[in-house]
Amino acid sequence: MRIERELMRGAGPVAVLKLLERGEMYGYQLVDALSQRSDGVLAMGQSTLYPMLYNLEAKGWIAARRQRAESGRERRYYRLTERGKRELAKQSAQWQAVASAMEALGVISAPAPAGEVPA
Amino acid sequence: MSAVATNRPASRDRLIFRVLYTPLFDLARGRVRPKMDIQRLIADADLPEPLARLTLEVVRRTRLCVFERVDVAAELIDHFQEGLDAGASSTDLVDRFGNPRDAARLIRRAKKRTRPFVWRALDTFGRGVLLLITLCILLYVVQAIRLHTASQVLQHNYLREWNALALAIPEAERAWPLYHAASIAAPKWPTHRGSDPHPGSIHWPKLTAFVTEHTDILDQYRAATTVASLGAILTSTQPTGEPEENPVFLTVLLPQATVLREAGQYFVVDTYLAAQAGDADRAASNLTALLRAAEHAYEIRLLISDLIGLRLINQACVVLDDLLADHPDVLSDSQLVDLSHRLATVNGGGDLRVRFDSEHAVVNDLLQRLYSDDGHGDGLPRPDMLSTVAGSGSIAPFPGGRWSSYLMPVLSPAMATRREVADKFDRLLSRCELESRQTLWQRQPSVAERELDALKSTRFEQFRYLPISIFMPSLVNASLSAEYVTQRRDATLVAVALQLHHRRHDAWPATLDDLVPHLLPHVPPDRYDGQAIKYRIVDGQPLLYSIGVDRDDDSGRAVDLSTLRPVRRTSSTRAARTWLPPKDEKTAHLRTAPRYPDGDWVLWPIVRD
Repeated sequence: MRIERELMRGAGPVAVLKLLERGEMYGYQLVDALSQRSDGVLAMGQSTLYPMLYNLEAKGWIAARRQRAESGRERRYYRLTERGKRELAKQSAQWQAVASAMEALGVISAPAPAGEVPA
Repeated sequence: MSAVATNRPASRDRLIFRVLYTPLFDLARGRVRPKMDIQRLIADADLPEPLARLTLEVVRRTRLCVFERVDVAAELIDHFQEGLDAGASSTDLVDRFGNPRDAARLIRRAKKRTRPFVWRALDTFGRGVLLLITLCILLYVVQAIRLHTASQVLQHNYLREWNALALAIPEAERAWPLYHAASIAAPKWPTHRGSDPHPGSIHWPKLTAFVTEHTDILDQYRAATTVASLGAILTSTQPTGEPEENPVFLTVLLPQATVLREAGQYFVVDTYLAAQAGDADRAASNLTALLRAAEHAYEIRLLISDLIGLRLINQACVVLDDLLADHPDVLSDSQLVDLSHRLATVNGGGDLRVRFDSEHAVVNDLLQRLYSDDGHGDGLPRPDMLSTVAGSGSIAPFPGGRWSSYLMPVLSPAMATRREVADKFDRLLSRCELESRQTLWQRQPSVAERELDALKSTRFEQFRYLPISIFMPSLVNASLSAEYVTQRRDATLVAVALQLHHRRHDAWPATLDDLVPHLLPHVPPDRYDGQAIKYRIVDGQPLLYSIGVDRDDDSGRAVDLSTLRPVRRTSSTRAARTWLPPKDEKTAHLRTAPRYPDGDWVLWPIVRD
């Protein structure tokens, strides 16, 4: 399913921040992870990702460093900063609130309990 | 594998290119590393051609600074290499990348946000400056177009309008051709023209010899004065000698001024000679000629010719005063009465005045040449204004050459429009005219003069009203001259009346009222207090005087020049008559307060220092 651009604009940064919460990653790795872990829902072209990374960097939420990988290739790794962590917590809470509200409205359904087969 | 590296021109390996693309920091350390050569960077990455081309396109489109582009290129190269390593095809990677134009735009925007604050501040400042410069250029162009496209209309031909009266006089009834012929025939006047001829002057022997030798010239001048109208047609000539159709009124030639002054000198010298010889008719004829010449000068209606007219009247008065004092019996009663009537009615009689009509014409003529005309009395400065006026006055600090026209779009907004200049000039001139009608006893420091001084005292105002600051002269002295000559003329009329009274009664009158109404219609005023002109009998001889500029009666005592502080080279008459503001007790102690010469302005007999 293709996500509307405006929705993606809000979801993309928090998704990237969340991915970086576990540790530093480089660009291609982020694209790959976003695509795989969201079943392609949050897949974004590099033309969107890199500007987003630069924006997050400008805001001070992530930081980059170049490091030579085992393969011998130099990569630009991104990691979450302290400010990024606070921002992630704030945005996560907001998304949680939005999801709850949407659920209450019946826009989205609650996840099925374990073992229960959805109708 | 086809890569950009294979397309890299061999020239990029040249040392000059390598140096050009090496950061200064490395160069300073003696290292030549072309890190800023993005093409080389992409080529060296050995990417498939579509990816290399895509990388280069995105990087170029970002229009970032070279270091940022190198950074973006390196990241994209890494990205594509990772993709290739992960088994993706170059076509897949290109497809998944998205629109390169959008990517470049977003990368540019995002990268700029990562720039340091100082850089962003400088960038904003630079953009502001650039915007300002662009705006200035735009304004300059718009103003230049306005100035160059505004039309100039020479609505008035002031010279033609000025000459209309003279042209209406039949040629045969014009005196000017006779004056002109005499002046051409006349040899050069033997002394400086400014000095008044007088039997006591050191040049007197030379002057008498000269006039005696050239009586033919004298006769020609005298004949010219018998013609009713001067009928002088004013002209202006181009450097080529051709007369101009509509010349600048300021450049009008006035040979009449020189010729009339010279004729006056002939009449003055010959009157003294005639009196010494006891030739009353010749003396009276010369004095009449002087007054007729004054009327001819007035006919021209220029300020300068009015001043020449005043000078001629003054000369007639001085000579007649001297004759009454030194040769009291030369002129007959009827000659004295006739001269007295002529003197009383010269230039219309009453208080003598100078007219400022010509100043009005001069400045308005300049305005129509220096400004465009919007058809409603307003207009913009002409692009060539500075170069036009540069020859007539200082326009410092601005240049007056042909380059000045390029400055006009910048300078013109600081200049007043045609209407503003015209209004200001009309206001100043009207005030001057009003003040010029005041007698010496009514006068206060000139407001018009103060306004004109204020206008000339600051560079901005001076430049804003350039035509006025350059072309409007101080008119106070001209109007004061008229007052001085009026006083001189009035004293001469009284002196004539005194002489006639003395002849009839063999005694001087006790008061001037005794002369009224048979010999004088009324006792003329002292121009410094508005009361009757002062009269005393000293050692059996009459004395006429004005209280003078110190405005107190010193019983007819002339100013002692040795008491003047600061010491001045002047005459007692000039010192006593030259107008100063009335005494003010409040400011009398100030250094700037005027110092009044102690003494009276002796009118008759004339005092010569």
